[in-house]
Order: sequence, then structure tokens, then C-alpha cells
Amino acid sequence: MATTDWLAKNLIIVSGKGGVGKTTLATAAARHLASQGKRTLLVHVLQLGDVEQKLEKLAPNLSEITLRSADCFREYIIMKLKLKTLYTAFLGNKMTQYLEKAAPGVREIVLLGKVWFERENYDHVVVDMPSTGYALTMINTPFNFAALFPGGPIYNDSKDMISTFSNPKLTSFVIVSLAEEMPVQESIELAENLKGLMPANPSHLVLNRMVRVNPEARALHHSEWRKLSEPERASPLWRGLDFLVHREAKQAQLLDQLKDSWAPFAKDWFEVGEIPAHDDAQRSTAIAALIGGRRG
Amino acid sequence: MAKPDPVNELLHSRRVIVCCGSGGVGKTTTSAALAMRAAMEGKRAVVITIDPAKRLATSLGLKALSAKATDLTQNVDDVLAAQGERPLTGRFFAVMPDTAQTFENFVRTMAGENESLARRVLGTSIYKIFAKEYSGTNEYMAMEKLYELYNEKDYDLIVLDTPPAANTRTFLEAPRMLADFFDDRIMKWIIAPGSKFLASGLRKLLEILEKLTGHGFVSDLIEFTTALFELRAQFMENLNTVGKLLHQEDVAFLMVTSPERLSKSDTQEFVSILDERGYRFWGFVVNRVLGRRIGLDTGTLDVARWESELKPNSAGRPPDTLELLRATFETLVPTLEHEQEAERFLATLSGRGGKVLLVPEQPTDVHSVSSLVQISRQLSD
Repeated sequence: MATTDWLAKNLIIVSGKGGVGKTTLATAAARHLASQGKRTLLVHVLQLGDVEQKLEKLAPNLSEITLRSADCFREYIIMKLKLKTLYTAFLGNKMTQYLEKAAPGVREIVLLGKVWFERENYDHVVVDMPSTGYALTMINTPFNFAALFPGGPIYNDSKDMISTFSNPKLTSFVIVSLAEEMPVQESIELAENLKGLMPANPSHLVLNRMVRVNPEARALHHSEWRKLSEPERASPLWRGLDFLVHREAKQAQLLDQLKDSWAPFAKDWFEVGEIPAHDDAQRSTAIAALIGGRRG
Repeated sequence: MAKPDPVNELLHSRRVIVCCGSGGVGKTTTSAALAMRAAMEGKRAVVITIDPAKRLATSLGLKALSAKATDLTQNVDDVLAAQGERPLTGRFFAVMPDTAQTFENFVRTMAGENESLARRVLGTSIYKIFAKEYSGTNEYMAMEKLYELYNEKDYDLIVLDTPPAANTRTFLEAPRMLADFFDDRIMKWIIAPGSKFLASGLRKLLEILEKLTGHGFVSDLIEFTTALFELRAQFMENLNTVGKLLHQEDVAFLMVTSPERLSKSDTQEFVSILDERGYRFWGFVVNRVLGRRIGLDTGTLDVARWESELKPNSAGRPPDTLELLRATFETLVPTLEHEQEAERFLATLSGRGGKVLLVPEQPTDVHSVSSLVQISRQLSD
């Protein structure tokens, strides 16, 4: 009952604990949507770092961009205040950087704002967000600004962003997790926090890298492990199987508990098995095919 | 007597261990395990964790940790007793500073007698957001807490779990970021909009900002910045003092990573920044090493050999045993190959005497005192 309802939205916001495969999943989702003929933008938002912001064509119907806050800031001011010449004349890069540091939330709001503006230019915008803590900080920003500012363009845009994010027809929040205790715990906390901000639009859950042991191999472990001789038990071949069987059992236990703890957000989640691959590009292609399979 | 072991050598020779690393690599677990191991070695050890997700508290079976050092020796001793082991010869403490509270205290302390200054800073609406969300605040708080505990001289060893960050070098860059924030020149511009020397560009910037944010925000920002500026001297002095502390001989930096999350460029940058700035790099702790868990100590992946070794022992097993074992093992091969590549990379990078500790992938999630005890024991090279 693995649903991928979250794909059918204009704005798909992907987050989760560090190292769970957010980028891979976001890329896979974007690839799948583009392959269905939808004009799709894949946006990477970094917590730190300064990379060149350049729109690149990844595949037919699919563009990719990594945001740089200084560029987003500039675009925003030019768009809002029609100040191109003024901007270039007076607002150097250094000043913008300073403002980013001095006024908390500026970096976050311009990045989130860029994502939000781009939604009108595409059928789908898939956002590869930073991990849990910073993602939450970002999503909090329009709420903070709507409360902090008495008026003006940022206040108005913040209000509009909140209404887009709160609408389950327009936006989906996808939390990627591993089927392990800590990441799941963090995912539930993130989902609770997001629900506090946007009660009408609860998050979706994707469990990535699920362990799936061949049933015959599992049965073999079950019948033989206790009877093994010392040299057999020392063999990496048996120990590899033992590791996977334990991991799978632990995972089953966790999923059982998750049925209750995830119930406040959704009735189910989407599962992606471990894909034995050497790089993330291979993984995301395989996951894109998997998503396609589930939907078709 | 301490065993001749690099970890014990570390725990006995340093007063501070700073654990750096990007998110999701088990940094908090490693930090706690190191402090616990020091307590096993007879030290009074404390771990400082700045982790909004409260992972360490969860690991220790607690709802939360407080900003005051909590003595957890008994919790560990109970587990050791259940395993039939001797209790700790030292003591094990944990602290989790509350960033918002620490920041408020910090403003009050710095303002000293000048209570109205403290009230002005804390009173602006911007303060609340700043304290909560300004990047760099957590790093600064971590350093403050470290400095405080170091000066209390109550502990033999302090292990600092640096705040969660996207990059390993974030912690090292934080002081510079904060110093930039107080960059005199720009700050003076901002806080002196009435000055006739004010560049017209600045005035323009503030006008633009006012247009974007509505009336009132800019004056709030100026108010906040002005008040903070008065605290600047004290703040910079603190930053310098902590900077000096981190350069001392009894401070070791280590990087926590995992084969899967290892970024070569991030790691290289981290090592070279440490080197450039004269911090003492100790080595890498590599968590979740699958090869260690399944007995791959030789480092070679020789499925065919293992199969032929198993053959004589498998006479009584079901007929397709070897086939199933091989097929199952194949699913682990990409992970193992990636892992070995990561180990080679780290070995090269730490060439000049740096250590590489490989911690096995754990059979279960690390979320109990007993699993932390287990990892404390597994910390070796």
C-alpha cells in the first residue's frame, strides 16, 4: 500500500536526516516526472557553500539548479523593486553577504522564495532540501517574517508562501528516512513540527534502502545457523547472511511500531529497497523506474 | 596501567577532544563513547553535546539532558553490573547547553552592570530569531561551554560533540564567520545611518530594505545591531580566548565519518584547515564499517576462496547452501568495495601519524547505554 500521491503536486519538498538519500530520492522523483512528459525542475538547496547558480538541462523536460542565496537575493530585489541599475550600483556582493549574516532569515527566505516563484514556471518543482534541522529553520522563516514584519513585499510573499505550503493540493512534504530507529525518530519529530506549522498538509514518508533478504536464504539461516561449526561461523559468507537477517528482523520490528507512530500523519508510506549500486546516479535511475512501476 | 592502545593514549594525554564531522555519521555516539571509555580508564570525563534532536539523551535512555553536567556514572555502572563487569573507575558526565538560554546568559554576562543594555538587546523582536536561527550561534555556544568547563577544572577530559552541520569544517569556520559579523567597518555603517559620512549606497540599501520589510523592521535591526555592537569588544575577546584554548597541546581534533557519508573534498579541506591553523589533528573514527562486522579483517574480497574453504564443512547442509550464501553476499559487495576504497583514502590522508579507527557496523541501533558501552570497547585501531 505504498502510495506515491506526493508526486502529483506542483511543489514537492524533500527532506530528512543527513545521509538517508534525500538527493537520490529527489532526483529519482524528478526523473520520473520528466519521463511522464511533465516539465520539471529539480532544485538543490545547500545548507552552506557557495556554488555557481546555473540552470542545466538534465534530460528532456528536466532542468536542474543549485541555488545560491546571493543570486536569489539579487533576483528578488530586482523583481520586487525594479532596481536593476541601483542594485548593480550600490549593492555589492559583500554588502549582500553581510546582510545575509546580519538579518537572520534573509538567506532562508530568499532561497525558499526562489523555489516558490519557480513553481509557476513548471509542472513540478522538486526541492532537494538540506537535512532536518536546517530544513525546518527554512520553512519556519515565512512564519517568522509574517509575524515580525508589519507589512511590505516580504510580509505579503511570506503570507502567500504559507498558503501554498499549507495546501495539500499544491504542495507535498516528503520525509526520507532509513528504516532504523534514530532516523525514524527524527523523521517523526520533523513531521510533528511541520504539522504544527501546516496542520492541513501532513508529511509523506519514504523509507529508503530497506533490507530485503531472499526468503530461501532467510530460511537457510533459520535452520542452519545454530548448527554451524566454528569455521563456518567465522566465514564472511555466513556472517554476511547473519548480518542481513538480523538487520531485516530489526527493521520488521521497527515497521510494526511505525504503524502507530506514523498514523497521525498518513495511513502508509513508500518503501524503496536497498539497491546494490556503486553510485548515486545508478541508484536514482533505479528508484525512478521503481516509482514508475508503482504508479503504472 | 593503561594498555598500549592509541585510544587510551589519546584519553590519557589530552584534556579536550573535539569531534568534528558532517551530519549522520554517528558523531554524537562517538563523542559519548569516548567520554565513557575515559571513565572506564579512571577519568572524570564529560561529553558536551549540542544537538537539538536530543539523540544522546535518547541513547542514554533519558528524556532530555540539562545545561548542567549530569552524572551518569550510575546508569553505566548498572549496565556493567548486569554484564558481570566491574563498575567505572572514573566518572561519566553529559551536558547539553540550551542554546537560547546560553545566549541570553551570554548577553547578560557581557553587558555586566549595564542591565539596560542587556534589556535592549533581549527586547528587540529580531533577537528571538537571531538566538534561535543565526548560523554560527550553536558553534559559538559550544565553544563557550567548552571554555567554561575547561576553566572549572572539574574534569580530566572534556569531549566536545560539535553541532550538527552540513560540512566538517563548519565548526572551524564559525569563529571567522562570527568575527566577520562584527566587522567594524560595515557594522559602523549600519548603526550610524544618521552620520553625514554614511555612504549614500548604505542609505539606499536601508531604504530598499525598509521597502521590502515594511515600516519598523529596519529601525529594529539598527537597534539590535547597535546594542550588539556595544558587546563586541567582550565578544571578540572571548572568541580569541577560546581560539587560544583550541590551539593548546592538550586539545585533539578528530573527524568522525562513515564509509557511506565520506566526502573526499570535505575531508581533505578539514585536514588542511587544521594544519594551516595549527590545530592538532589526531585521526579519523570511521563508524558503521560493515567489513569489521562480518569478519573481513584482511581487507580482501575473495568470495571464491571463502566458498572453497566452506565446501568441506558444508557436507551436511542443504544442497543449495553455498549458492544462496554467495548470492546473498553479492548484494553486499558494492558496499564493501566502496568501504575499502574509503579506508584506503583515509589511510593515505592520515599518512603522517594520524590514526584511523574502524568501528564495526552494529547489530542493532545504538540507542541504549549497553550499546554505547559496547562501542566504547570497540574503539581501537
